[in-house]
Amino acid sequence: MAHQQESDVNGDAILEVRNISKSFGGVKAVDDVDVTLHRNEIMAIVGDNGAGKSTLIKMISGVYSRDSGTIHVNGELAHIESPMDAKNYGIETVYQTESLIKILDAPANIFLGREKVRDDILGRLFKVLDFDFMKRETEQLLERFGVTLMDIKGDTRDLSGGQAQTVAIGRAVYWGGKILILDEPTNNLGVVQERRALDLIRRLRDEFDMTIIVISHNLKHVVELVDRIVVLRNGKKMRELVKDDTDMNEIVSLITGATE
Amino acid sequence: MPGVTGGRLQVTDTSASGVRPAARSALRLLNAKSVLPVLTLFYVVMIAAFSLANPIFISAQNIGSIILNLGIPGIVAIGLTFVVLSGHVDLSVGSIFAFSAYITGILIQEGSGVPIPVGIAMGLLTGAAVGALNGFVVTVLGVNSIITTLGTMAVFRGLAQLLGSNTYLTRIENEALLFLGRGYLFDYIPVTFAYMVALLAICSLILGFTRYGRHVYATGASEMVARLYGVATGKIQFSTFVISGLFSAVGGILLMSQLARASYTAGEDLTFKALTVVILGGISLSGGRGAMIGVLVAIFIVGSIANGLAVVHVPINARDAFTGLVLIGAIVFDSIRNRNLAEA
Repeated sequence: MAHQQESDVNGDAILEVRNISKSFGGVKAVDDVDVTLHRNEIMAIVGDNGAGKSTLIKMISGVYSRDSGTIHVNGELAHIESPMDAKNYGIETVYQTESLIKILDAPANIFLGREKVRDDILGRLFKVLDFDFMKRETEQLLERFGVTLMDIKGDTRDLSGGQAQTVAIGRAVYWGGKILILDEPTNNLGVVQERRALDLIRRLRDEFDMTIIVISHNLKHVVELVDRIVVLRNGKKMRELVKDDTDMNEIVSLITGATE
Repeated sequence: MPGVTGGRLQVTDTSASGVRPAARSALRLLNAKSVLPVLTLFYVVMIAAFSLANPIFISAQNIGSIILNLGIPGIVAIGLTFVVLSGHVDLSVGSIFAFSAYITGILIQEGSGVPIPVGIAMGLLTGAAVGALNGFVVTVLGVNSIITTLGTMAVFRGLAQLLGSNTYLTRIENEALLFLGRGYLFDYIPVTFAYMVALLAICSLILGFTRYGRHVYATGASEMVARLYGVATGKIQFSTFVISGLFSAVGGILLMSQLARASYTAGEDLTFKALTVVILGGISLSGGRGAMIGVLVAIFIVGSIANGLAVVHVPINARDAFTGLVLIGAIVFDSIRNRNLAEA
């Protein structure tokens, strides 16, 4: 119960994960981890392959059920049992690979599962889609991120990595996401696009009032971008670091286990 | 080993930039979003070839006979299209076709006292129920759809045969029922063809313009992403099996009313034929890609091949082999397209 007492003393915790655990066939993928995310910060979760990063975020985003532990959003106990539950709490996740349906266009992806139907009888009776509305909203949304697609009705397969990421992040923003989990946001991007992705993440915090968790292998980007760093190893939380009080060497030694 | 890497890069470069223009435009056709141009071209060439080989092929009478036989298999293929779009396969369509028609046939045969509309409704319900069984096994129990429907294909063909060996069905003499399968609109258009075109148009609108259609495509293209974003992928896939079962029953009952008698051997080659139509029509076996309009052209192609080969006196066994080649060709085409799209 000690955890509960220390939770949210400042009143600015937007997400509190307490004593969360998950095992796969006897292997503890995540072992009793606590994470507190403060409003309007960017936090990184780092660790080697198999450290439990992915399992941890999948529990927060409702993809995996948790064996034990609680999740609080805005101080209230959150019942997250499915991805839709997490979305309803304002938690949106953008995965490294499975973020878009490539054969559908950008509006279709942004409205996937929440398509806007026409207001007329066709919409009410047959759920006929309001293509114009979805296209306009998508254009406006992407404009806010400074992205103009050559062909907004074209398959998202044809988008560059950066554009595809903007569409996926745009979807999260559009649907009122407050907590954004980004899985390897700078992977598979060129040097210029990498830079733009980092700028975009900062803008999400500064202009769109988002709170962000970043999972990344790229420690250079992590150190540059984030406010706090949580280091996981073998499913356990090793340390929580404040960016200004640490450096790359310390992070690396915590990840590899050179420092306990 | 920089030498090896360099060498491999060089090879890739030659194949990308050094291809002949003809090969490149062929590749572009393969990558095109729609197979429609290729299909239409193929159909035109095919018609020309058959007509040159035997002018009877384009006689009004022969065209009429081709069109007469497009409707029923076409309707089954339209239903099957939903299943394939959502990422599965339904091999049981031919058996559902025979079984549900047999149920209707038993119910409405002379002396049974069951009104014809009730008998037909029961047959349709039977088809939808078998489809629901397929859908349940695939989406709830998680069994591979090829295996599941291979099983129900055998089960319901067997049940139809069992019913057939124990019941003698009399000829059904009823004007209205016969018109349902044999009638003509405006003297020239077989009603079965008209049903097929109408159903195809409706299904095309559903797939292209409604939320349901969007979810069918999303589920087939990427079940995981679709589910992550709240698409009820299981329900969608379940529903496509029900549609497929229902459309198979429609086809079976239409054939029954065309022949004025139910037959438990009906539709034995139908699964093969309908699957050929669907794949040839550009509905990708990997799900989520293709459009009804392609299926329409493929219905014409497959319907004309059998007739055309007969007109140019190819023996019946060789005709089946030829249609088999078309299926294999369509699958190869589909997988090449998939590979190219995956790399793009």
